[in-house]
Amino acid sequence: MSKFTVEDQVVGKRMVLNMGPQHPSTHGVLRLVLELDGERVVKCVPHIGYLHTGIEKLSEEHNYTQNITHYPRMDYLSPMNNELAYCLAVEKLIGLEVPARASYIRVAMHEITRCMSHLFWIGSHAMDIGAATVFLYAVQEREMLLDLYEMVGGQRMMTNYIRIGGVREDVPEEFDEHARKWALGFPKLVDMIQGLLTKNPIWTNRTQGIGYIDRETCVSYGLMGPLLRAVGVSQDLRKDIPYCRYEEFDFEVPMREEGDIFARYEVRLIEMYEAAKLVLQALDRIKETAPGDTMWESDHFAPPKHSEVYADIERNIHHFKYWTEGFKSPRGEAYASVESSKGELGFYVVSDGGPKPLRVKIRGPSFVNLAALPAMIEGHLIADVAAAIGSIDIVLGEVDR
Amino acid sequence: MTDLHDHMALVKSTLGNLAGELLIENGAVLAYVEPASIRDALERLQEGSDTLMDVMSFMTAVDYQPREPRFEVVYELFSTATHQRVRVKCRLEDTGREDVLPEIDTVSDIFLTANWHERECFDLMGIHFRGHPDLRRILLPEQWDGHPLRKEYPYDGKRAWKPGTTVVTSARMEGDLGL
Repeated sequence: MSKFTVEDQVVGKRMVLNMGPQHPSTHGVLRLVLELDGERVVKCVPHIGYLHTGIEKLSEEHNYTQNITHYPRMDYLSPMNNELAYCLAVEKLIGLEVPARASYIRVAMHEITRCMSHLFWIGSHAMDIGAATVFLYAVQEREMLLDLYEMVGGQRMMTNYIRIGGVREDVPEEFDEHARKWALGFPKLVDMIQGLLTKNPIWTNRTQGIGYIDRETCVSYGLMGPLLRAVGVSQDLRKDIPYCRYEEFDFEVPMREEGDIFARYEVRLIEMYEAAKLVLQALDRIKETAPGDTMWESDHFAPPKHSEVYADIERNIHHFKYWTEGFKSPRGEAYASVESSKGELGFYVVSDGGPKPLRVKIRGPSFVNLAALPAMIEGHLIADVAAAIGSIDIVLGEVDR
Repeated sequence: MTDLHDHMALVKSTLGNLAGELLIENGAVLAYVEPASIRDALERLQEGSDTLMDVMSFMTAVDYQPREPRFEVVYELFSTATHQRVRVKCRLEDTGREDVLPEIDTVSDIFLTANWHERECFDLMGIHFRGHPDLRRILLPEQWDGHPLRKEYPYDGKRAWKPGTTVVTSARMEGDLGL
C-alpha cells in the first residue's frame, strides 16, 4: 500500500477523513483516521488514549483491597467482570481458596454481567446500523439487571462487591426470587431481538460477508472470546481453564465458521441464552450451601466478621490493620483471566511482599481486539466501519485504562 | 489437563538451549530467556508441536528498580489447542543514560498482537523495540515527556509539557496521523 502523499490529496485520488474522538458510532472516544478512495477505506489508523486514566500507575499506590475500586471503572458496561478477574489474580498470588457459596454467587453475578454487556452491545450495535428499536428493548431489560446489582452490591454500577477471598456480604433473600424471575423471562426477550434482526434483509445485507478475518490472522492478533468463536475456534476460558467452579456447571459454547459480523452476532445471542441458564444453575447451588459463608477465613488476608470486631481485641487490631494498611501479600506474581463478555480479561499482578502491588498489568480484551480493526475494514465501504466497530464490542475504558 | 511439571518439561525441551531458569509459580510455568534470543524462543514455542503456543495473551514490562537488571519484559503465551499457558520473561538492563532507552527485538511479526502491546510498553515504560514497524506512543499524546510507569516518575504527575510550550506550538507538534 503506497504511503499517502500530498499529491494524492491535491489530485483528488485519496481523501483523509477523521472519524474523530467525538462520534456517536465509535462507542466512546476513539479516533479513526481513514484514508478513502471514494467510498472505500484504503487505510485505517486508530488513535487511542483519549480515556487513559493511568489505572496501572494508580494501582501501584493503593493496597490490594483499595485497588478493587479502580477496575469496574475500566469496562464500565460489565463492572463485576473486572473485579472478578483481579480478585482471582490476587487469590492465586496469595493462595486463597474461596468458599463454595462465594464462588456460586460470583458465577451468578458473572453471567448477569455478561448479559448486561451483551444487551448494551446489541442495542448500540443495532442502533449504529439503523435498527433503533432494539436499543430501547435491550436497555429496558438491562434495567432489571441493574436492579439485581443494586440489590446485591448497593449500587447500580461500580458495586465493589467481589472482594479478595470471596464477596463482600451475602446476597439478600429477595435476590433468588428476582434473579429467577428475570432468568426465566430473558429468553423471550432474546427471541424478540432475534425476530427483529436475524431474518431482517437490511440486517443481513449490512452484516454478512463484512469484517471477515481468517482464522490464522485472528489467532495471531490475539483475539479471544466471541470473535474467535465466530471464526471456528472452540475456545472458552470457562471450559479451557475453569475458574470459580465452572467445571461443575453445564453449558454450551457457541461456535460459527463464517467469521463475519453476522456470525459474531449469532455467537453472542446464543451466549445470552446460555448465560440465563447458568444463572438458574448458580441460584440452585447457592440454595444448597450454608448462608453466610461468603468470605475466606483468615487472620491476615481477609477482613474479620463485623460482628466479632468489637467483641475481641485481636479482631479489633486485625480490623484496624486490614482497613488502614492492608495485608502484606507474599512475594511473587500471578496471572488470572476470565472469559469476559468481550474476550479474555486478565490481570497480571506482581508483588514485592508489601501491602501494595509492585505492578498490575491489565490485559484488556478491547485493547487487543481493536488492533484488528484495520484488518477488518480495509477494502470495505465507509459505512461498514460503524458496523465493524460494533461487532468487535469495544469499551474505551478498557482500551485506554 | 496435564500436570504443570509435565508442561514445564515440554517447554524446556522445546526451548532447548535457549531456556534459562524454568520454574512453577502460583499455577504458572515461568521461563527465563536471554533478551537477545527472545525471537527464536517465541518462534520455537509457537511452532513446537508439543507446545503450539499460537496466542500471545499479553506482553508487558515490569520495573524492579533498584534491582539490577532493572526491567523484566514478560510475554504470556496461550495455546488454543492444549489450553496451556507459559510466561516467558527476559531480564533487561537499563542503559544508565537518560536519553538512551534499553532495547530488545520486536516480536510483532511473529505475533501480530505484539504490535500494540510493544507500543504501549514503549510509551509507558520506555523500552525500545528494534525493528518495530511503527513505534510511537499509543496511550499518551506524542509530545509527552517521560515514561510514567517507571518507578522514578512521580505518582502525582509532573508537568506534561516541556517548559515554554504554548497551545499554538503544541497543536503544530501533533502532525503524525500515522498514515
